[in-house]
Amino acid sequence: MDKAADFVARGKRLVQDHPYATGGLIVGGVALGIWFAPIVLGGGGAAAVAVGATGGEATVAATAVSASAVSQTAAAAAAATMVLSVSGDSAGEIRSDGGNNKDNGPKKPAKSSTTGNMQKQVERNQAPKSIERVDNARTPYEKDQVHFKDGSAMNKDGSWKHGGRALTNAEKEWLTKNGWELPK
Amino acid sequence: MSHEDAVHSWMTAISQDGGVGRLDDLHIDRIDHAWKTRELWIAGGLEAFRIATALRDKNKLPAAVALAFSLVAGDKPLGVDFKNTTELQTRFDWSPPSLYLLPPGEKPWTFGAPKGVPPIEITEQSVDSSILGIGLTVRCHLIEFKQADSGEFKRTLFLIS
Repeated sequence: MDKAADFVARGKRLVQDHPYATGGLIVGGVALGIWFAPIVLGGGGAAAVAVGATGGEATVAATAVSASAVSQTAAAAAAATMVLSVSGDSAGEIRSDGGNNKDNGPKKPAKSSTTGNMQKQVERNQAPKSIERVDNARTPYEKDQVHFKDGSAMNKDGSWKHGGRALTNAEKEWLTKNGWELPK
Repeated sequence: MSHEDAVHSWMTAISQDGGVGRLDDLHIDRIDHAWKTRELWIAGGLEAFRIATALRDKNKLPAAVALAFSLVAGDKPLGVDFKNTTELQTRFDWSPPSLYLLPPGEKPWTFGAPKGVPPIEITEQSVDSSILGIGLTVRCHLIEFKQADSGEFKRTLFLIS
């Protein structure tokens, strides 16, 4: 038995045992698609195959089959690592992006700017005028800090290094935009 | 306010209000506004360091004094990449040097490490203090470290007494 036929047979057995299986024929097609897609189209092709599958059930089957394919080839392993995000029951709501879509999954907080970038904003007058400088931490367990012209200095985590006062709305907005926390 | 008064005031304040634990430092341009000029950072920093150690000794304060020069951060540790003050000056970032006061025996690169948190990647190298034209009684160290929330290796040159 050649590799492809063996793979289809294994796919059929796997999906027949699966509670959501809709039929070996469809699943076999999905399995073949995953098997050949990386060869013909690359990793992106594998994602396209999954999107083309009909219905959420077929997607479940494709996921199961691709998991069994991990040991087959490196290309099949690439198919197994693709991200399948099912947000509903219809095929139209199946999203597959091969792991490239950064919008999938929970939203992460805004990435914080480097102090160098923030300092450039200060020098270009793109920061509130009350800010004198943004400093790097000088010791490993110190935080980056923003120095205000009134002499106070606030750490990146919102704690005060020295001094302390209520921040203006402009200061809050600028710090938040750059990924810093505000005093509690 | 004289230089001595400015440093004394800072030392007294942070010794009493917990500033030592907060690593509350004193930038030299707060001692003398003229020291804001980049060309004076080495001379001004060394003068501030001399004043702080003299005040520490005079008042028998059980503390270590450190002077920190913040160097331009990079995407990898660079080691000691300067041989003299001229080269060192080109490595400074935008922030004037600052004084720290530490409990005796503490090192700036380990002080404040929270318990139960994985250690930060730190490299530490001794630097020949004669580069800065100072005596052997002063320890000179370059530390480079990468914090969890940063993609950069930050670099600081410390003088400690």
